[in-house]
Amino acid sequence: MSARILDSVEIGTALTTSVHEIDLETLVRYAGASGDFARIHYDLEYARLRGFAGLVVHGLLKASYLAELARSWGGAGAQVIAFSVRYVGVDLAPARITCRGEVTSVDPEHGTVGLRLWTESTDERVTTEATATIRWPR
Amino acid sequence: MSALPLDEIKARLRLGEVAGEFEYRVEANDLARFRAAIDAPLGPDDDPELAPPTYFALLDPMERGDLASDAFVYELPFPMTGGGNAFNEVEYDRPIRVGDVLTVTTRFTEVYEKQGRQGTLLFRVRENEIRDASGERVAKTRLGHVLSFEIAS
Repeated sequence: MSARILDSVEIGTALTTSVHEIDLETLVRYAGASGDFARIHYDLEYARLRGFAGLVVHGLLKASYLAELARSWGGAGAQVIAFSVRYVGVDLAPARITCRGEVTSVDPEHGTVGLRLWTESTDERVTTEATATIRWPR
Repeated sequence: MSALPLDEIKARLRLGEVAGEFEYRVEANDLARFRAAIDAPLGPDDDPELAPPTYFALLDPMERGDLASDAFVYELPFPMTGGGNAFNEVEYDRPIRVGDVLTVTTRFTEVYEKQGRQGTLLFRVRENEIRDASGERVAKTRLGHVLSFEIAS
């Protein structure tokens, strides 16, 4: 993808789906990389004490998958200039997270495209909803 | 009528005031480790010095545990039934890069309550302004956190 996409992309175009398998190791790696050591993500007894049935997948890990889906779709040089995400459902590890997206707006004047992105859990629940604006350098 | 002591929570969070100011340096190793953790390998045309779009999360003093001014909410006298991040928003003026020395200024801006499936929900919203060493704004973020409580009616 490149800035030429602005000449041809249409509203409703679907992004290529990405799928991520999440286990305890995934959560530990993300905790180490992000600095988010909230115990609900790796201490099962504590997670249950806090009201969860299992280890909670970091919301920002799911958000990162979605933002990366947008960035990679945009291709080299594309920048995600705005990103907004809501966590509408909890995912518990182990989990298979499917990331999907579609084009919602095209603005050739400003060189931007708007996207709607979301994650689906193993049982097809939508657990994360996001929007992103991508811009290509002129 | 609010079930939670919202006025007390707002006062203790000093709503609207600067809750803290922190300085973080963006290191190449941290970027690489973050990319690996979020399953985002570099492509042949990708710039390895540009941070992924959600790197702003690593610059949030609350997520890093550097700002603990809301620890008291975990000691409220109600059973907790869940909680976590509610939403995150970021607007970039420019990408974050390796070598950036960033100053993050945090303010709590909203505190409110809602009734949800898991009980009484307490939302706390904070905003971060991220500036580089020359004082230019790099990004602004808005982050919402929710805790749910079981409160007898």
